[in-house]
Parts: sequence; C-alpha cells; structure tokens
Amino acid sequence: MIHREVTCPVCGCGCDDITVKVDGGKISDIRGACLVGRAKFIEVSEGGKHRIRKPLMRKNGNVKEVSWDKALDEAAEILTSTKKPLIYGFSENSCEAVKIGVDIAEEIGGFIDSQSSHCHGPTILGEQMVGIPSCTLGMVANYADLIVYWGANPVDSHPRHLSRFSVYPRGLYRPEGRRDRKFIVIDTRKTCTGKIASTFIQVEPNKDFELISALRILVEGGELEESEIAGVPVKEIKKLAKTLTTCEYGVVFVGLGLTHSEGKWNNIDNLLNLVRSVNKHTRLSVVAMRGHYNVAGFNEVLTWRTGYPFSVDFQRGYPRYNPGENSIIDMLAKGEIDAMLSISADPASHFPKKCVQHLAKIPLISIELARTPTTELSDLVIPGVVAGMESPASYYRMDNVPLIAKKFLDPPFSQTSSDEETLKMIYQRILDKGK
Amino acid sequence: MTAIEIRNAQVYDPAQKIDGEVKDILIEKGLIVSEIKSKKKKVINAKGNILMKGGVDVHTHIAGSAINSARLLRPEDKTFIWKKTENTHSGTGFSCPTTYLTGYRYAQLGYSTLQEPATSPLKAKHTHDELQEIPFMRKQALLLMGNNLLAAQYIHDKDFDGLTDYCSWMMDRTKTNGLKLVAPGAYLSWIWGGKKTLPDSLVPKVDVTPKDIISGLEKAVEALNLPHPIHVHLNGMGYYGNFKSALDEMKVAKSRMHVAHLQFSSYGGNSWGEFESKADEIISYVNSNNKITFDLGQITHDKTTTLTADAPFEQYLSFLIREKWNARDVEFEHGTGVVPIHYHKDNPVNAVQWAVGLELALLAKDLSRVCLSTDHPNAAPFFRYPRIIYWLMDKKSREKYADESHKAIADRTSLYSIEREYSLYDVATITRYAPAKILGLKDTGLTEGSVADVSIYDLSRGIEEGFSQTDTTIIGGDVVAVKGEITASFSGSLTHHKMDGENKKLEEKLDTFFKNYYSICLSNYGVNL
Amino acid sequence: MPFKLWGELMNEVTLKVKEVPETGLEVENITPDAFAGMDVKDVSELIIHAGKKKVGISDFFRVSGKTAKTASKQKITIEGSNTLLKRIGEGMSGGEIKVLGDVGYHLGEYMTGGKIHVSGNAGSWIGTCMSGGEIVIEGNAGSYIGASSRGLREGMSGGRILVLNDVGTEIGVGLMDGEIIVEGAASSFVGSYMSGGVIRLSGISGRIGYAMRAGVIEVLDKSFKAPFYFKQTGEEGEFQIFEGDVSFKGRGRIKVLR
Repeated sequence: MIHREVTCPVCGCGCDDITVKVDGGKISDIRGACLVGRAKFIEVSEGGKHRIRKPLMRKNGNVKEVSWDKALDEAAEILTSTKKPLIYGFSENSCEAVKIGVDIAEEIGGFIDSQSSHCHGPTILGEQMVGIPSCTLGMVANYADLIVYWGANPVDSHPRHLSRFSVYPRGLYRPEGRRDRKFIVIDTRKTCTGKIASTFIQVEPNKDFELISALRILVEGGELEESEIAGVPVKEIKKLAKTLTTCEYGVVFVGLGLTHSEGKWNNIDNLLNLVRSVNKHTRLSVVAMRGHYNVAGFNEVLTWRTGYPFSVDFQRGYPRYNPGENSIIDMLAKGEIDAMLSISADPASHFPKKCVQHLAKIPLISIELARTPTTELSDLVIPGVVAGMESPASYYRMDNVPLIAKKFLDPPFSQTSSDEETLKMIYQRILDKGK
Repeated sequence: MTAIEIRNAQVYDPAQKIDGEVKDILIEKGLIVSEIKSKKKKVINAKGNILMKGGVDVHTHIAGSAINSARLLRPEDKTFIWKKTENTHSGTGFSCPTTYLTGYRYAQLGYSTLQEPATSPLKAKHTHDELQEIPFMRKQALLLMGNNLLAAQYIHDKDFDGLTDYCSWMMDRTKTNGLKLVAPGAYLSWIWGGKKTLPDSLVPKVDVTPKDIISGLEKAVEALNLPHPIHVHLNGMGYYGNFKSALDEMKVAKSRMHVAHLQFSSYGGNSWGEFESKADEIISYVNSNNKITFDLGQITHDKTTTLTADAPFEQYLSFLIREKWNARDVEFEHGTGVVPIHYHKDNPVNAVQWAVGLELALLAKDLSRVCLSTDHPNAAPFFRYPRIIYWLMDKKSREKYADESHKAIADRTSLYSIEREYSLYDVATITRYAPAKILGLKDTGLTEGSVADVSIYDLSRGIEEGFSQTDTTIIGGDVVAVKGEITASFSGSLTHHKMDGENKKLEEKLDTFFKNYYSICLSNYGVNL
Repeated sequence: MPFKLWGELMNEVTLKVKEVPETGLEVENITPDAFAGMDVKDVSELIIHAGKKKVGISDFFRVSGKTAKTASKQKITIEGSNTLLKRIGEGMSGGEIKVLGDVGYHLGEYMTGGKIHVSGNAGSWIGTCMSGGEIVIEGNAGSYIGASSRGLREGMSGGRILVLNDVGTEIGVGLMDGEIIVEGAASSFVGSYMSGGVIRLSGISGRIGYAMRAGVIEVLDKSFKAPFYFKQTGEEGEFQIFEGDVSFKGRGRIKVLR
C-alpha cells in the first residue's frame, strides 16, 4: 500500500511530502527523503533485527526480560520513590507524549527537560532578552532574496533545507530561484554548505560576537577604524552590512556554531540586537536550525503548560525555570538527579563524561527503539514505538508550524500502540500510588 | 450531574429583561428548567447574592502561536503562579497565563464562553492544541483573513463567490467560526517595506485597498450567514490621530461589523505630545449606526503584553518604548508581533488611553452593541474586568483614580464631565447579553432550555472584590468553582463552522498553489479533531 | 579586611547546621524579616524545603538565640553552611545575616536593605535585582552577580556587592545603580546592558560592556585592552577612559588603569 505525504520524522525540516510503500507490514520503498531520512526509514523497515521487543530489567548486575506490567510498575516505583527524578528527551517523539511527560513530572514533583536545553537553549535565552523576528519556511522560499547561514551547515545536517526552503526553490516572488537570491555562509571553516555559497565569510573561532558588534556599528551608521575584526577584513564586513540592509527580505539561519561557541546565548543576544538594527532599514528574520523534527514541539507544549520552554522544576508544586541550575547537563554533572526516565534520547552518547558517569550510578529508565549506549546503562528498558511511523505524532517543525506525522506501520509488539500510551500507563500507576 | 436549585438570587438577565428580580433558578441535565424532576438535587442558598448567565468574552488571546510566543518571550511575566492541587494542574503567568490557568481564572471570574480572536490558518492546529487544554469553557476561534494573499487575489478579481467558497473551506479546515481582519492590508504592505497603511492606499503587489478587503470579506461573511459579523481590528490601531481612518473604515460596513478593542482606535492629535481622546466622535458615529458593534479594549495601568497580528504596529511600538520584540511572518497569511508593555498612570498617553475606554462605554447609547473586553492581554489581563466594572459603576472611584493619574485626563478627555454610572443590568448587558448576541449564540440568557451557565456573586464586599471571584460558577450544570476553589475537571467544548459538502474544484486549485508555493502539503493543512 | 558589621542593639539567632540533605535546602525563610517578631520556637518551625519536601528549620539546624521585634534589629548567624544551602536572605529589607562557610545559589536576591556576609565561597545568582543593602563574599563567587532576573535588561538598582576573590560570568547585567566590587578577576560578560552604577574589577579575561549605555566599569589591570566597540576618549588621573558600547550608541565608561 502506498502512503503519500507522510512525514520523515528525523530532522527539523520535518518534510511532510514523503511517499512510502508498505508491503506486508514493512517499508518496501521510499521516495522524496534525503539520505539522512532515508536511513531512518530503512532502519525501521528492517527493524525486526534491531528493535527491542520486550522490556528488560537489570537486577544485581543481571539483565532479563520482564513482562510489560512488571516494567511499568517498576518505572512508576522508581519515579515515585526517589527524591529528584527527571524526565528527559522527546525530540524525536510526539507532542502527545510530551504532554504526558509533563503530567508525570508535575505529579512526581520532579524535573523535565529535553535536548533543547543544550542545543538551541542559548538561542531561546537570547530570545528572552531581545526577541526574535522570525518567519515560516514558506516565507523564505517565496520572499527571501538574501539567505545567510551562520554557524550552520545544512548540507550535512538538514540535506533538503536548501532545495525545499531556502536557496533553490522557485518562489512566488523569487521565480528564478537561486538566481534571485544572495547566498552567504558565515562559519569558522569552509563546510560543504560554505563551498556552494556565493559568499563565504570565515570568522575566527569564538569571535562571532565581535563580528556581530562590528556589523551593528556599520548598520547604525558608524565607522570601523580597524582593518580586520574577528579574522574578517573590514572591507568584507562593510560589504556584508550593506547586503543585510539593502535586501528586500532577508533570513538568517542560526546554528550551533553560534550557540555553542564562546559567548553562547550572548552571541545570539548580540545577533538579535543586530537584526533589530537591520529591521530599521528592511525586513530581516531569524530562524533557528532546530535539529530534531519535534524539538520545537517540546518547547511549545512545555511553554503552554508551564510558561517555560525547557528545564522545568516542579519540586515546589508549580513550574520554575533557571537554566544553569535546573538544566539536565548541570544537574547530572553535579550529581543532583537520583533517577531518570529517558525517552527518544541517547544521553550516554552525547553528554559530557561527568554526566554519563552519574547516569551509570542512578536508576535509569529508557524508552527506546533499539540498543544504544543509553540502554546499556539503563536499569529498565521499555520498548519504544516509532512516533510518526508506527503511531501518529503531532510535531512542530523548526519554524513552529504544527503538523501531524501519519501512522503507516504497526509497532512490532501489541502491548502498546504508542509511547504516549506507554507513558499514560506509567502515569496511571503513579496516580494510583498516590491514592 | 446532580440537579441544582438556586434559591432567592437577585437575577440580572437582559435577555428576558430581568433587572434584579429575586427568584429561583433551576438546573437539570445541564439546562435551565422550570421544574426539577429528579428527587436528588443540590440546593444553593443565594439570598443576598446576585446571579447572571456565565460571562462571554468576544475577544481574548488565549491560545495559539502568538500567545505561546509571548509566554516563552517573558519569563519575567510569571509573577502569578498556580500550585498544583488534587483537581488542578499548576500554571504560571500574570498577563500570559498558561492553558489550564486561563480556564481556572476565567472560571473564578464566572465566565463560560471565550472567543480566541486570531487564529493563524497555517498554525491553526496550534490554536486547537491549546484550546483543548483550557478547561470548562465553551470555545470558538476566529480565522485571520485580512492579510491573506489568496483572499486578496479573489477580491482583486472581484470573484466574491470564489472568495466566499474559499473562506468557508478555510474555516471548515481550520475549525474556526468566523473571519477576523487585523489591520487589513497592513502586513501585506509591511513585508515589502511599507510603513503606514491608509484605508484607501493600494497594497503593493495585490493592488487592492484595505477598504476593498473589508468590504469583500464582509460580503463573504454575509453570504455564508455566519452567526458573528466580520470582526475588524481597524488600521492605524494604537497610533495618535487614528480616529479619522477608524471612522473611514467603519463606514465601509454594509450589513454588520464588529470593531475590535475600539479604545485603541479612538485617538486624536498629530504627535504623541498632542495625544488626545476622540472617543466622543467615535461613539457618536457608533451610536448613529446600528450596523456597528464593538468591544472595549479597556486598559489598566499594569505590566502586560501586547500581542497582535498588526505586525507593523508591533515593530513600531517595540522601537518607541524600547522593548523586546518577537515577530512571526506566516507565508501568504499574516504576521504577528509580541511586545511587552507597562502602562503607567502618570504617563499622559497611557492616562488618556485609560479614559478613552471608559468614555466609549459610558457614552454608548445602545449597550446591546457594547462588549466588555481588554483585548486580553493587550490592554490589560482579563482578570481586571471587575476593576473596570467598578469604574463604570462608580463615578467617584473613577474620578479618584483619574485625580491620581496624569492631568492629561482633565485636559484631553471628557471623562470628568460624564455623570453616568452603570447599573448591574448594564454590566450584565455588556458582559453577557451583548457579547452572546453578537457572537450569535443560541442562548443569550437564562430562558428555559438554555444551557445552564450560571454565575453567582456576593457583592457585599464591594464591586471589584465581588466580581473577582464568584460564590459559585456553574457551567453546563456542573459546579466548576466555589469561592475561588476549582471543583471540577473537564475540557469544555468547541464550536466551529462546517462547510456544506465538499469543494473539489477549489481543492484542485489550491493543490496547485500548495504544490508550487506553500511549504507544506495541502493534505496536511488544517486541523483534524 | 576589617568589617564592622555588628551594631550593639541587635538580637542574634544562631543556626548551626546539623546536616544538609543531598537534595539541598531552599531556605528563603531565613531572613531577618521572617524571623523578626517571632518566638525562637516559631523560628524553629518555619518552613524550608528539602527538594519536594517541606520541613522545619529545626529539622536541619540547631536553633538558638534571641529574635528581635523588627528586621533591622535582627542578626542571624549560620554556622557550618555549605554549597547546598540556597536562597538565603531572599527579599530581606534590613538586619544582618552572617554565614560561616560556603553558600549555594540565590543569595540575597531582591533584597532591599540589610547586610549579608559570607566567610567562604558563594554560588551563582547573587543579589539579583537588589535595590539596597550590602552583600560581602570573602571567597570566590559564581555567575550572575548583581544581575537582572531572566528576560529583563534592567536589574540591580541600589546597594553594594563586594567579592574578595574571583567571580564567573554575567556580572552586573542590567546594572542601573549601586556598586559591584570584585577584588579578584571576572571571567566574561561584565556590565552587559548597564545603564548606571559602578563595577570595579582587578581583571577580566572575557567580554566587557556589551550593550552598555551608561555607568562606569573600572578595570584595575594595566594590561587590559578595551574592545573595539569602546572608543578611547581621554584620561582621568590614573585611568584611561573608553566610551561605548558604540554599537548601541552607548555612553558608558570603561576606566582602565594606566
């Protein structure tokens, strides 16, 4: 059976124009997905081999299969018997699952966080100081005559970004596509994206902040006495300032190059103030290159539930927010968490060593599809359902457009139909314990 | 659900012209009844209390991408918090409350019906994701169309049948209930560098004027026989001297027009320094033209948040008051801006603005065309309604407040010369009867067979305190709040327009446009509930 | 350094730490304002928070001494403090808190008066949006010192913070008035969004004066180079003067020792 216009549930592009063919409950063909997305479809279609199909529990160093009931009971027991439990993950999962995650964290008086706190968390912190003028990706495709990627390398990270949204589309007001646009990449080294840009600006590592301040001086009508700032000749900086202020509709895509280099949220704060200045002359928008297809959805759901986008603390019975204090990396590094549920995430692969060492010490529950370094550290592993393929999943694309990823497969087990349902079963057990 | 017998309440129900009569109100199976058939019933002794139908808010920004972007923008707005209880979820937010908190606070106020006035078509699912969580309330939402490119194209081509079909299809797909125009044409100009949009100026690239857009979409509303009129946030909203263009655009209405937050469009003066009230001219026109209904948009001097699809105004405001600014441009459909604001009573502009809203309400002749609102949270958070009611009912209190504010109120407005004081009947009119009538709700009061949305207030402690928290709030026959405590847990309901049958021809036409230009597929556009 | 904190007419309550649970303790009720006018017995039963649990002060502290009638006459000494104690002195308006040992995050936030003295190191988020009073840290301190709360570009509006050793980042963010003196060095982002007040440092290894509009930052380090968005305008005594943040048309001053 052919399923059209389904979603590729991988990167922040959230492409909803994929066609899959399903034969005998397995994916037999995929059209439209990029190599990164395709790999996910293939992995799932061959899923039988890799998938975790039964819950696993580790007791006294031995790992054995247990029943779903036992696993869900144990999850509820761990989360209610510990003092500082944390619910983490969700970036490749559904908004429906996030809602239950928030319910659970609130009920147990614990913490909830996602990949966003250490990914585009700094972007959000910058937004909270200055505000972001932003736009949907269709605005870029149809209106933008200036595309800037700053500290982002979409050819590698979001392969269809340039063709679907930014540089190449023949838009309503940009019918010549690539020829109607200026395409600039600013990065510390010439990435694959930098190589195909019309202008590549190489900035000295950790000096983006200075480049931004220099640009603002020019945009505000001032002058630069130096010959070079942040490793960039001032002649080039002047050209860039002119390009920014004379476009008709410009878009700056920001990536981890800015959020993770020296300055972090201050880099974004500075950039947003630059964008404000440019908006006195013309329209310039900023879009964050969100990594996962529903990392933005986690922020949306958590914000409408608690008022805060990530790193929420429910210990006092109401939501509190203080990144640096209640964010997962900081708490794990200081050994402040004594239990964790990780869903659609692989902290053992990505977190700093100190955090992973602490994870190894505390009771860790994973809801996962296949074995990962995180499941290897876990005390309880519950089989995950592929949200957006095996269960329908609401998600928010990188530009915060809400979509639904359709279901076109069944999970390889019958005890649950979705991670949302799995979490609901854990939540109900937690509520029952409270009574 | 147990039957409820409310005894000896002093009832204010303009739908039946009941003005303070002491009577019993009987509720069974979620409706107002003349007698209770079941043996089991709950009795509420309402002696000394007043009773009204549940409040109806025609214009309150409670759900969707704009308010959520405001919540995210403002961690400093969480000066109000709600702790989790057995019956309730926790929440935060003074001017931008989170979803559950919004329902709880409206329930405490005795409201039962809310209209979200600005739904983004492309992001409609977001609006509904949030609306679904707001507990207890009867909800509906308006769809932003005043800067919609395809709508503008239909208007340009004078294809009003096509426009009507498109609007019907859009409301059906996005599960919305009416059309909203926010500064029609202004966003479409602004994205091409236009600064200020006048009612007769041609919008670049679409070659229609704001007046054309208003008149075209009004035709569509009337052709579809929508219960609620075209709902318009006039051009020039918020700027000094905007009253002229406001009158200009109001005159476009051929059948009916509901003007949003009229206070923000009633200003005179040629600069901020000359800012003055033109409420008298505006209300004089409204009084003489029964096609116009409006909601107030009354400000209070609080730290609140402006969030509106009037994107160019928000950019202007953010630079004027030096505040942070979020903007969201949505392909082919609309813009959004979010800017925090702190209205000060000793600021001459803010002082005059405060007086303007009161002037409009007090000088209005036909209160069945007037709705109380604060354009929540733009002018004030909705839980300021009781304070505004107090000012409307008590000349001394509003003059005392004016005395403590900037003297521009005396120099630039006519507030001090107004003697009128609202009665409780008047209050019931602008908070219940008029908004219900203007929304086209089936039940505008407490006649037999109406939905049992009933609010009981104890005003013995004063008007403001009394209206801030009901003694009892009943929605659909369920007791949801008692003296501020939330006593139920259900999600409320949604009303939306349904298109007649299908429109394959339109979908084919749209499919081409979507395939070429939109960033999502047509089959993924819209909301499935 | 000689520091005469204690007046003679103060009543003193002493809190000796018995233990601090691994969840840490949030003790925003340990302020002269909360203690004043109470019985010492009632002070013991004041609520503090150990993670999700509400506990009484006496569950984790040995309480002794005398309470005063008003905050301004109330002195509190905490013995055996460590980095797991958070929110000491929050919102206080008068009186004194002397901490023997280290403290955790959130010290003296939103205070309007009174004095806090810490003999050891302090964590981050010190004196957020304070409008009066004095905080002294003898050891090192963390980040977000005398800074604004999240989302605000205006923060501290009065009072004084003194740190005798080094500090981290985001010092005096949004400073409007008051003094922040660091006898050691700061790491980065000192005086962002400043619009008044004075910050004094013996050195800084990162960025300074971002978005500064007014106010003064003194850097007592001859080798310090002002960033390019501050233009040299002249000299004043032993200092070179730089004005900026030029990219914001700011007129803040960075004074560098010559």
